[in-house]
Amino acid sequence: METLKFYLGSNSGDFILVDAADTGSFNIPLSDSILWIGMDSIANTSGKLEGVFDPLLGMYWAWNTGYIQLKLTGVLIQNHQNFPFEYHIGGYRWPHQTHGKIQLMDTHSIHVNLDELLLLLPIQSHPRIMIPGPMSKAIFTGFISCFE
Amino acid sequence: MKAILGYFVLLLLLLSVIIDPINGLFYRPEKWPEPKYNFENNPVTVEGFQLGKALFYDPILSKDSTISCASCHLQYTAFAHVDHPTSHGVDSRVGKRNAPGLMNLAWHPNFHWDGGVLGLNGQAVNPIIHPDEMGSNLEDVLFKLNHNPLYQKEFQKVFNTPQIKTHHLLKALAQFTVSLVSANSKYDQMKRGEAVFSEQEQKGYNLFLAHCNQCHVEPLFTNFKFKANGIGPNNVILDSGRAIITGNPKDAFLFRVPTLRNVEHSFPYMHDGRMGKLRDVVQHYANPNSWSFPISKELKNKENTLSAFEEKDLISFLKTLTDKEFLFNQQYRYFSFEIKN
Repeated sequence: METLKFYLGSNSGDFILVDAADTGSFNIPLSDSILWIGMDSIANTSGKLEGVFDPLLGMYWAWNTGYIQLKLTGVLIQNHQNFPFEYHIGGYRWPHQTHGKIQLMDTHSIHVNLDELLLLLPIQSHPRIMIPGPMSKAIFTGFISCFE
Repeated sequence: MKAILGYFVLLLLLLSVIIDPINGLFYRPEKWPEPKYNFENNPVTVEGFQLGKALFYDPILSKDSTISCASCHLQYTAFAHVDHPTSHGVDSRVGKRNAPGLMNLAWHPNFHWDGGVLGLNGQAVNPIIHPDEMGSNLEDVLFKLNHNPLYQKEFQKVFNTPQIKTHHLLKALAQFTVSLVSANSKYDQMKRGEAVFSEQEQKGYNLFLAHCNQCHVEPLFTNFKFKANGIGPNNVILDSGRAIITGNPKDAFLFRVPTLRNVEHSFPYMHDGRMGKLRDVVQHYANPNSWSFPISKELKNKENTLSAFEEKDLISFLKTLTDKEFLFNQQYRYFSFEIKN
């Protein structure tokens, strides 16, 4: 996997961008056992453009205002064959919102099962998904289910 | 006496900053609706306006320093692009849509022909990063700006920041574009009792009220909705318009109702710039035989046929929406910090 970036929100409406390539982003000040993956429509359309909302972070959809909530890119190697994939998952309009709650059992650490995630991705049939819609929503729901 | 005079001068100065269109800054014309733009988040100042203007005219925003915002948005044509049906950018690449005129943007609830962009501040990211427009990216643009002493100094002045960030760049550009207010056409003067329509213009205005103003609502001459224009998809460019944004098939081939202000000068017309003359557009809407594709119910449910005389009357009214003061406002002209003008 080359990129794994996603937005994580607290109950109070603050967001951070978790980037698997940046271990510094793993230190999350947790005060609650409930966390949100992805942003709600208000955060998506706030027009803040600063901090975690800076388009520079590569998570901003310029042509269809909103943020990529989950960015996944990489190559799946199967039977000596390479299958590149690129997923820009997001969307805040009903019914394809990518915004969901996770309940933590343990507030000291969060585990994401990436093996499970890879199995869920439709890499053979849809190696690229870059727009909101049912496919985007399905991948997002799958991602949330990988939090343990 | 001196004190009174002092207050008077102060008042005049204040007025000149707040409402004087001569200095080019944003103002809200009398009886116009509340603007949508959030001025609290980005108050327009003289320095910010100048900085935005310099950026607007500076090809530094494009990947090879060849294309500026003004390449496709020229003042004398109401900041539209008259040479080409659709915009063109770096490496002579051609875009998919007709660059629209820029005016009265403070009242827009959203931007682009498909309404996909929700705020004026964020809009400018599109042309900067689009491969068919400026073909650059924010990292490169911010790097160039942060290594340019003139810009560093100006951004420091406006935003009090040693480092230029994305939102500084976007807010500066917006301070200029939000200030492009066009509200002094003959039509506006007529409304204010400062001018009188000719008989032909008045007849045209009556026709406009009967046939066009359901979508092209005064005083902005658009209702900002997305409508079917009856011209059908372009043979070369497949563009499904509003549906790209909403994902709803019902929105396929709907495009924003554009403003009619300065329409005389902002040709070509329609989202793909297909029509070169105002007459073509009027004839298209007036003649159901010309509709090759579904058309909005506002036009469909009405008898719109116009005689040749009526067409001329309507066009003569549309020309009263030309705002010469806007088109030739010195404050909107080319500006650069390097060339003192």
